[in-house]
Amino acid sequence: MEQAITKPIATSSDISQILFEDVEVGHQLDELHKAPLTTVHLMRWSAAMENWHKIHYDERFAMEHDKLPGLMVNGSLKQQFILQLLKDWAGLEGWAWKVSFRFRAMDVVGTRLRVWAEVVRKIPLDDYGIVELKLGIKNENDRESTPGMALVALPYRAGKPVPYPFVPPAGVDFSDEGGA
Amino acid sequence: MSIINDDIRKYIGMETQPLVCCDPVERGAVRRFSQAIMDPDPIYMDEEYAARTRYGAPVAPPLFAAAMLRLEFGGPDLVHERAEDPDFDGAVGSSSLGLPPIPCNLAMLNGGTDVEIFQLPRHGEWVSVTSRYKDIYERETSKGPMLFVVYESDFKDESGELIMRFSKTQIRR
Repeated sequence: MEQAITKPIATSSDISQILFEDVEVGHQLDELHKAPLTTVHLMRWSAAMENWHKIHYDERFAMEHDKLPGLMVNGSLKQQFILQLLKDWAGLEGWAWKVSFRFRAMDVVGTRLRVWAEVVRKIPLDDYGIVELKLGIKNENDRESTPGMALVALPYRAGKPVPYPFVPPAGVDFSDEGGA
Repeated sequence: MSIINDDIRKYIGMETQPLVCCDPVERGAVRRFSQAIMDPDPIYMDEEYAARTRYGAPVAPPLFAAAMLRLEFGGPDLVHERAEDPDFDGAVGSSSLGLPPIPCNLAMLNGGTDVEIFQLPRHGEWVSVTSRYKDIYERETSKGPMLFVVYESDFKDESGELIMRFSKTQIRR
């Protein structure tokens, strides 16, 4: 208990916590920029994952064997950026619960990525609210490569905490516009 | 010409036993991972900060567990075994999420992800995973036929509670 006194749980009063009431349909999240992504970034990611797929660092293999336009930015790396955007927006008291996206276009090494999301629906529940977002990743030419959707739980002002570990509410679903 | 055949179709529905990832959630691995994704969130490394949050202790990034199936010490070393195979693409570890690879030498691309996340694993926690081939199908595209391989994995903590349900679609072309 002593620890609880000296290290109180972080709350919306002492950190910047977005609340369900603060969000409106059409609200656009601050974009997350990752740029530029060099071969060093891709090698660092391969090392972090211990997965040595050659299309991310062996240009000859990528272009001649796999017939790709160049070294590919890993989809497995791009998806981390989407989760970072949603996690940071949800804050310590919200929860980025459900995310779905498709890799529709390739990004080659050197590209500059912008991760975006926009609120499309609000679903108030008894104890907290669910926000549905559409999202994606655009490159420097404004080309969308990773369209998707997400459901994020946000607390109410003076409401109960969003449960952790998160327990999905019954009967809430969203349409996956991606499709494989 | 079709890619899919009966040898590939028989993988649909195949499921692993629960596999315990070869290492627990390591602080150093979390550091390298969070640096590689360029997310300096203090919940990943700062014990005092994390103690003041609902996590109580440092945790791993949301999709960290999906990369925890790595080459086991003393197990088959595909990197070396296939060193002289010109078709070896280097994809190892978490690529097939613990499932036996389908018999297909076509190039592999990441097609997308569907994930539900319930908690973030703490440093030191052991994680287990059960994976299945949820579906395998072929589609004709402007670039010719492509094979879509849908993996689904349940990642659980030491008490058997879900960390996340992770589904990815791999494209073979």
